[in-house]
Amino acid sequence: MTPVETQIHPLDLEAYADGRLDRDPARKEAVEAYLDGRPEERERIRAYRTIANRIRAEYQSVLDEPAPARLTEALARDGDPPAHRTLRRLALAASLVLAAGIGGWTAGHFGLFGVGTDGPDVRSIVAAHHDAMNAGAAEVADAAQTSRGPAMTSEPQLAMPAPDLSELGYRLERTAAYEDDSAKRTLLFYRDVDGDAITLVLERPIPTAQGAPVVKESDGVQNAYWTDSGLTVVVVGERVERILPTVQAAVDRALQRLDGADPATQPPGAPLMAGDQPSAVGEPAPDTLAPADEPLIQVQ
Amino acid sequence: MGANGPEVLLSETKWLIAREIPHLRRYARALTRDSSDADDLVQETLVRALRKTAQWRRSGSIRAWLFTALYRNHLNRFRRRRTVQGSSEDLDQALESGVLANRPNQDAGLIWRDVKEALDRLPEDQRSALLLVTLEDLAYDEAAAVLGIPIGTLRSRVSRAREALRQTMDPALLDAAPIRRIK
Repeated sequence: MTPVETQIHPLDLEAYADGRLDRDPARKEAVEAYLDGRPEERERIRAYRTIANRIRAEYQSVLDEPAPARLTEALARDGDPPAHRTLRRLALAASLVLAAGIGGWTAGHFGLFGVGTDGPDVRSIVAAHHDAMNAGAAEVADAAQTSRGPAMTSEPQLAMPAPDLSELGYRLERTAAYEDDSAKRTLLFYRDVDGDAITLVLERPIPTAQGAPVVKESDGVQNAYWTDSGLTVVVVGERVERILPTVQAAVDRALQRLDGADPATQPPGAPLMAGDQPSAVGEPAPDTLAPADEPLIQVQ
Repeated sequence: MGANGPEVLLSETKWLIAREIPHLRRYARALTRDSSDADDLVQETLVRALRKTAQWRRSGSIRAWLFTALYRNHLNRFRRRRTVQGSSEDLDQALESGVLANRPNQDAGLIWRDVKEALDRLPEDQRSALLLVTLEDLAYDEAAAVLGIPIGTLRSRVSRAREALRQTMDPALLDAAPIRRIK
């Protein structure tokens, strides 16, 4: 009789092959016991390790090469060109000024802590943000082929411009929309010249701290949400905390151009829809999910 | 700095970044398959990283942070190149098909005797994941963060990549390899 075997998942075997179980001796021992009676599996692990060794050997010479002077010189210089630095400083200064003028934004509500209240469906938003960061270029390229162009239909009472984040160096890259049982959401994907992405989401009201942004961290990115004009607004990005006041002000300005329409007065579940807007580089920003019956975002 | 260090005195942050240059160059070389392109990519990454050191101070490992920046730059460079070339090719499709690779003009069914050839046959998303884990030895969660994907997706990509390599590499190549314990 053999002792009762611990359940071994194929990922355990891969972690073992990668040497990632060294800090978990019990698990490592269980995997080795599992392999004892399975020569084919053991051979597979051996092959994985051999492949890894081959890959390392193939590129070892790069580690041994002296780094080109241009790389060390790049480090020696200040990496921030004067013009760029000035723009950033101006953007930061602007955000600080705007912060002072935004009602409801207080230090007490601004920080990386959970409030224990039901917030927006941040996990799916963060997932969408990760997708946009990772494959944004592809989606833009793909969706550009199916874009309906800049002339979008719109319901006048719902039309609003996409919040303008150009002062932070971000431009609108694309829009999308999705819905679940409780809400329909508009997602706005922005990116700056360095490739940093932030995702801004507008959805039907859900209970939050009234008007005051709540900032949390999830899956390596920050997310903040607040309510404005009856909408819940969510923004996801790596440095949301720093740019939040400016983003909040931009959203507020955009919402003020709703021509008196209050999104909160729309029927529950009414689509928030995504319209499109030309990007700063002239590429047509697409509406990949195309629920275009009632666009909230209008072309400027 | 010591006698072997850069001639210019670097701040502590810059020194920490400088230590990662060889690893950045190695990953960039594997991603781009071209030494000059790779160094361009690393240089661009360094310049941008210096602008954003505050981001790193908030987010842990400097290596993972730099690799994240490098990978994003790699994707952005591809996007720019695609725009200039006016190609209608979709990046997602390219990532999945391995079309970004300098694919050898041979049939997929052949056995590969060279590890670079074998890597080039992998879909780009699998290749970039495998290289982070096996070549750069990043933790699974760090590698997932670099690629901007969930850890489960990362592990799935790595798993599929190495199984594909195992299936297509010459058994003699595997048998001949010295067995060394992986860290």
